[in-house]
Amino acid sequence: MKTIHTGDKNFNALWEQGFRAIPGATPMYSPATREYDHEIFSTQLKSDDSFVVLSASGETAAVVPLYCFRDEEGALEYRYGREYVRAPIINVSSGLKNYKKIQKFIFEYIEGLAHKKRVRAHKAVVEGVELLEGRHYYNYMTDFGYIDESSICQLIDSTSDPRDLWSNVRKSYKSLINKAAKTHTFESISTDNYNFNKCEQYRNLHFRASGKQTRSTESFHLMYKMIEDGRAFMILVNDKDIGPVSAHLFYHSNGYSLYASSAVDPRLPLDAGIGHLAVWQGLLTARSMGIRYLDMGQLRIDSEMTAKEMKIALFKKGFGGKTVTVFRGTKYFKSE
Amino acid sequence: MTSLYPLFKERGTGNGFFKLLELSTGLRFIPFACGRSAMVSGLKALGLQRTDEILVPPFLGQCVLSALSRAVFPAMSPSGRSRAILVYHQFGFPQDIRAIESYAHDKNLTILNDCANTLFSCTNGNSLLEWGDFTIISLSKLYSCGLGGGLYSRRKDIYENILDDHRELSDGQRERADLALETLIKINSGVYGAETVYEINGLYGYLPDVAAFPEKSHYGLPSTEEELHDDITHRKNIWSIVSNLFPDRVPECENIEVIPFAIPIFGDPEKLEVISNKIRNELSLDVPVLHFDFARNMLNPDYRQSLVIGCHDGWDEGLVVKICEIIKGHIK
Repeated sequence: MKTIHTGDKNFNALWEQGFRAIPGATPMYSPATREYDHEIFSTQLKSDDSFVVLSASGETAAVVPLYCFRDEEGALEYRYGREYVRAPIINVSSGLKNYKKIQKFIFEYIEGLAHKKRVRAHKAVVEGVELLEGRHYYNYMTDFGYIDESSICQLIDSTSDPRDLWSNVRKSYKSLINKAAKTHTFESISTDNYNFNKCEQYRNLHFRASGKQTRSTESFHLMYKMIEDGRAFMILVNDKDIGPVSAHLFYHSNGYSLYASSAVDPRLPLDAGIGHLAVWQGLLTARSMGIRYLDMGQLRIDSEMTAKEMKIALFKKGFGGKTVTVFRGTKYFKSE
Repeated sequence: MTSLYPLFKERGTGNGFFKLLELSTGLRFIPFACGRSAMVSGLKALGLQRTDEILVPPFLGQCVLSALSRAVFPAMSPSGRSRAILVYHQFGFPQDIRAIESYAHDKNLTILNDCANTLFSCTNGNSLLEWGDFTIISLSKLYSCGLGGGLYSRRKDIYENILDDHRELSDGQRERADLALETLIKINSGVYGAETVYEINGLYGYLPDVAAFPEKSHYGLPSTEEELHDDITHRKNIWSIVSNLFPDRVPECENIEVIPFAIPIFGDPEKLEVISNKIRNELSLDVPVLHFDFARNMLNPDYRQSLVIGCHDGWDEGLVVKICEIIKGHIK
């Protein structure tokens, strides 16, 4: 087996090949998301040690995201900002025995890299769809010395009949959605009707909500590029009187979608139901695109949730779907 | 293919299972459509909110997590919001209840005693069903009743609170419960074809809200004391066969009596997969490779991959001997 790192001229093409071929490659593994990650983490990312594993025949057998950050004590860790980086994904088509061989190789290789670069720990998360689609039914990382730190996420099967989807929405949200729909219009912006100026409403709303621009203009432009390239869509909600009041971004690829982020006009009352309307329309849009699962995201990132985090988690749970275990783990490498 | 779970099969007279259970255990269970609806009802009766966390083991299926999510917030590590702990006696092997009770007491956690996999296992001579703040059972895991569960609490405040609500809820949901069982039987017969997954999702989506016990499920349950004891004897016999042949590969059971739902035999995971496939091909039995906590303590677990042998009445003792012979041939 051979590894190809980010410095290699073939890296991007091989990653893309793996991203398209490996089951379970959610949008978080997409080259577009990697580009976006590099932009938003530009001041914090110490190195990108991500690599591709090539089989003997030269095919991409696995892709392994591996971002290196400094933790709160100044030590180096493989993770995703303050969160867990996505776990390796491996092509299963080569059979179970080969799969296990590649898996062992990857985790030993990560450990080798960590020793070489004096990285203290690796925090990794396995996507929820891995469990639902039967590729991993337990936290296999514990077999490689990772401490189990699993959490939960909310996954909605967006192929269901819209009536079933609606019946699973929390009762109080239904009235909020209906109320918001009376005074607001919405549009779904995707590769089919891409419009830069409409996408820019996201940045305007983001600025209005936080009172300042908290990240680079380039990072917003990369989001729009994802929409233009067919790897994301945006739900833009307009008030009939004051114009755009919220923008909600959903990544999508390979039949999976992820509710990524939103920007909402702070002048709106909390019970306006705009966010609820947007997520509901996002779910219908995902369905119309043939997307299988809409991942509302992890519900519990840290063990001690703030009131705001709990509120967000409850919001994400209110649209139905399945509460699924997200296998997470941390390995602390022994210093040599 | 015989699996760990029994399929619906009419056999008894359809009367009196809960009376039998009461005679046998001294506990009066409130019938529910399934273990999950009993669980949700119990948590609500405790006054827990959706922001209150319940500590759960990391291997619970999405059906259980999704059901819990209706009432509380499932979490796999403790926090300041932890209010309850779900103690699941996997395959019918009791967890280390002393250690867990002490922890729960220190943290002021309510104990949800999940006996989905056993009715008659004991620890130190005491029935497991009596432990904790409230207990839920899932009869369809043990008997060929398709659906059906129950709830018991030794805490009068909880028990009476649930009983009051249950009567009213149950009366209004009888047709729904019967329809749920009919749907499940159809799903298992394969009539839905490609639509099966949607039917399962639909059914599992609303089951946690159904309090009523499906009428027809009574016919899949033991209806005499003899039938009840035959089932217990059958499970004990299978446990005896397996534990005698593989004494070092099954859970240690000092001070506990196990009436199992299934029996784990640990070994090298790669070998276990080979054995599992061989049994499937030769005997048409599903002996899956699953994880079992050999420490029997969710607070400090020792998960090991194991072959899992079923114990319901579809698992003939002769077949179990044959399974063990195949396993013996591969594991020394």
